[in-house]
Amino acid sequence: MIKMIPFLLILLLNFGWAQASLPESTMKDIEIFSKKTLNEKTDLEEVKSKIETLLVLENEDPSRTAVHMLSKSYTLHSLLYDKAFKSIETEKNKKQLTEIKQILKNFYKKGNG
Amino acid sequence: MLISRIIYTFSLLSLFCIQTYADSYRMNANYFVRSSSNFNDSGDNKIGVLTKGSTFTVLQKRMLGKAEALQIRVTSLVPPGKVQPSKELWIYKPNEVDFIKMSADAVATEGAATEIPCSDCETAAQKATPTSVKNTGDLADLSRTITTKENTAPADPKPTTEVKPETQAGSYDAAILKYSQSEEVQYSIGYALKHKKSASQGYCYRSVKKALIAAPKGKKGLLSEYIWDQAALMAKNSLKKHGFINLLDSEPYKTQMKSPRNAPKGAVLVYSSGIPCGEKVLDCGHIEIKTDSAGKPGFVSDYYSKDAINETAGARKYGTSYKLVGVMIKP
Repeated sequence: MIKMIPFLLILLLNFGWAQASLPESTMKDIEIFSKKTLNEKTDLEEVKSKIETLLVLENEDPSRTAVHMLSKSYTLHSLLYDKAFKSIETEKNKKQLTEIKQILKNFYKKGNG
Repeated sequence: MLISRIIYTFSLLSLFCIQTYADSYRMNANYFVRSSSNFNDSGDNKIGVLTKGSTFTVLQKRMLGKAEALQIRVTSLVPPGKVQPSKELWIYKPNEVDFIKMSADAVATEGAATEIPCSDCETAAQKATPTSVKNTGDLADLSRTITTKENTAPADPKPTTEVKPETQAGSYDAAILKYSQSEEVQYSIGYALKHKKSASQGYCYRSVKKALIAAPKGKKGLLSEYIWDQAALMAKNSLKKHGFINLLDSEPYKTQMKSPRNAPKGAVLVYSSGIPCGEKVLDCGHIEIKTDSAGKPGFVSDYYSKDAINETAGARKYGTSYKLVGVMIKP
């Protein structure tokens, strides 16, 4: 049983990694989504999924490129995004979500200068 | 006899005309202008810079191995280029890429009046060692072997704006080193690192502008005033108005600095991104300052990363739309 521990640990780590990992097409998907005209009634789940993607990317991409990409979409559909933000907010991710939302609000309107 | 003389005279005249039309150029890069044809390293005779887009007419040619030394008359000067008034103006022409020959129509009048035929080119070429000349250092020996030709003073070109860039292949090296080691650069990097966040806040350009303007009390920073533009990509042009040059405009830096990692310390790196910010700005771009010397990691804007924005683990994994378009330094 003791001999099994390293294997179990590796399995656990791999499982954890798989959970946090995103497909290679993530940026492309975000880019395509950013240009999509959203439906306030039917696209809430997809917006939620994209915000969750942004949260995963927080650990891998300090440039927050995906957030910048979605800024125009946020400007056009802020009500839908705000609804999505509220529904996935927890104590743990609150700070990150606040920062992301702030960038989404400002980047498209004000630029980065 | 008379007919043959007339034909001979016409052929000679037409030859002169062809040479005249062929010897006016538009610059495709920035090059030093010198007051004599001595192209050695000391640079004592450097009297200005002929910037990309400027035009000139050739008054005299001398062969320097496979390259040419041209005595010129400047016909137009694109800012920030400047040429001090001088009896002679010489430029080193190592290749055809940086010197675009102008069409006959564009220069016929200009050249016809001043052209001096290059009668001793062949002799000079034979005397000079047939070496491929890559930098000005190689020219020191060659230039001594060139036969001199009687001076024909061209009209003095009028200087326009302040001299900023250096030119000729590899000749920014000293300027880059000086820039990287300057107090202003150290201060800017220090300021940016002090104010950095753990991740982007969406204000890379704002942070870089603040860092560039930052200076110790009583001293000036790399920028003397704040730049009021909206998108980082605009820095590629805005910084030029404040004395910066883009190393990607000239070789060998264009080839050497394909990766941001190879940029020198303190270089301001400008990227295109394809991400819009506003109705009119379709490409907001990104900007960051290299915090360490070429080949070493370290990039700062409103956040710090050991990797450039287009070379992070995330960028490698998921792809990136960022493309390096500017490696700006202030010589």
